Amino acid sequence: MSKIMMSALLVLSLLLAARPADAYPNMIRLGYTSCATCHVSPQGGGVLTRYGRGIDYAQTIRSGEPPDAEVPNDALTRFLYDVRLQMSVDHPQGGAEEYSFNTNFRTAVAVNAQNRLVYAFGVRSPALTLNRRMGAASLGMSRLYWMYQPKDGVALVVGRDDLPTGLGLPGANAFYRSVNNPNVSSTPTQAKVFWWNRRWQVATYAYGPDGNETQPQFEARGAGAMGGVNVWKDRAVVGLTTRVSKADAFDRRNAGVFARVGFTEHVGVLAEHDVTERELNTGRRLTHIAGHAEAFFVPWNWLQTALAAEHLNTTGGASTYRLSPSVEVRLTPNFRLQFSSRSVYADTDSRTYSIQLQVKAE
Amino acid sequence: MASNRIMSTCTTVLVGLFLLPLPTRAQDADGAQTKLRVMNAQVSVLCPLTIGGSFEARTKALSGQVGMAPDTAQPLDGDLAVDLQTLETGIGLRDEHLRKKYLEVERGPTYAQAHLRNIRVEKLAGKTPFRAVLMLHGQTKEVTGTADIKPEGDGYRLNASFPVRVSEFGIPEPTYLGVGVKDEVTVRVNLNAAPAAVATSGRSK
Repeated sequence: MSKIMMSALLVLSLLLAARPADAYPNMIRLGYTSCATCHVSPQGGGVLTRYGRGIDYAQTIRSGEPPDAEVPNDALTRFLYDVRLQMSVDHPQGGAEEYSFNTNFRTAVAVNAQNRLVYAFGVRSPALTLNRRMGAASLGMSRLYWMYQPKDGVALVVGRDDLPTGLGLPGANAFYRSVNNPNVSSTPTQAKVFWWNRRWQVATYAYGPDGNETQPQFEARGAGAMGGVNVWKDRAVVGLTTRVSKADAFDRRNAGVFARVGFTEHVGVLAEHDVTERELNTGRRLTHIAGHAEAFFVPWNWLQTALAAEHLNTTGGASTYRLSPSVEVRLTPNFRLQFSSRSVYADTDSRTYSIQLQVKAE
Repeated sequence: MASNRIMSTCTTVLVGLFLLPLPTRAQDADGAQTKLRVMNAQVSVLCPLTIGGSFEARTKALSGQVGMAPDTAQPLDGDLAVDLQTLETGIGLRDEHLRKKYLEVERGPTYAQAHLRNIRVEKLAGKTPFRAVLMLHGQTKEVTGTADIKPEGDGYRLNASFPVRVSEFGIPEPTYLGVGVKDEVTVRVNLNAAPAAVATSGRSK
């Protein structure tokens, strides 16, 4: 009976289900308090370090040693990279199925032990449907930066990249940005300093335009900081974020809190909430409250499930809520399947089911 | 005069009874030392990573018994054994590395199990420092730590922790793809122990 129930629950979760492929802040459940353990970039996401790739290999159904496992531990890996092809099928409720293909190339080239050049770009196909509605393929040089790491726990980054956030979840950030930070570049030109140790993790940064803003009046300049503290047995990190920016079209101030908690090696929660105040050049003042809360359940490392709830409220304006259950099945180090649904509750409700196959080479 | 002596004797006996140390809970009526058997336990080894963060290796496979002697100057008679082949860290490949490459459990019983013997505590209730002999990876070293001993039912609940330097036990430096485990790890032991007779009867049910 229990086996039948388990199977039914598994099938149900697979039908419901996925999550962004870039960031896994749920690794807090295994005691990974900092993204820097597994990612080249201390803020997480992007190309993995050798160790990160080893952990990635170990968390699949067909787990095993990565190809360079026999290379001496202290050897400098000059060229880290991965290429990912994602094939997605989105089925909006009441709409036609949309097919899309994304290819992403990410690399980190080590000049020496302290200096790396990190580059990433993607090619995104238009959304294809059976009635041939389509757009154009887009090519983006999304990230290019130099990273100087004089010693363990300190890094200086200069270039184009995502701005640091508490959880570093790209899907959540995209959900908010269209409302509480519209028309600006998601990867502005920036200089960042990271400092982290077993207890603390701090990032401070300043940034400016990168030319991807929709109009010159949205070319923003700003600064911000993110600080987190490991408060419970390497299984809970809580922190604060803040950012101020200014453009011809607006002044913007933002402050938030975040938490990553692993109650056990299988269960935990992620949360990030912030308040943004924007004063437009028209004199209009807007206050947005945005949040992401996620409970994750990882019965086995190769099966990662999560239920995320997000909200975006504008004082005196519209409110949007999104509920996203997801399941990721890590078949091998090179193949992953993701299932998800995204239910958006706003003026017009919508629901999209999505299946994504990711093929990775590295 | 006689009544004064009787009163004095009674007072002494009463005071003595109230001041009687808790370990007598585990002693037989005739005052002989009683063995306490581990009923359930969890051992976790906190392994800090060189780059920050940590992982825990855990097992419930702790067995053995100790004799509770009222004289804390003497080591507790007994042996606690941990089956190292059951240690789990949350990642299967890491479990395999831990057991085979570093603890080398396949080399024989002295590698497959860790033993804690000659346990000395300053008191048998409350928080107390302790020292013991740890046999691990074919090596024998003394370790020191702190323990919190609480009476519970017929037996005791114990929470103890002590640091271990892996290099002192001849364990190869644990590293994987450039990230290592710091030399000092922390062992935490949580266990419930009951008088051996009770434990035996409990299991036979």
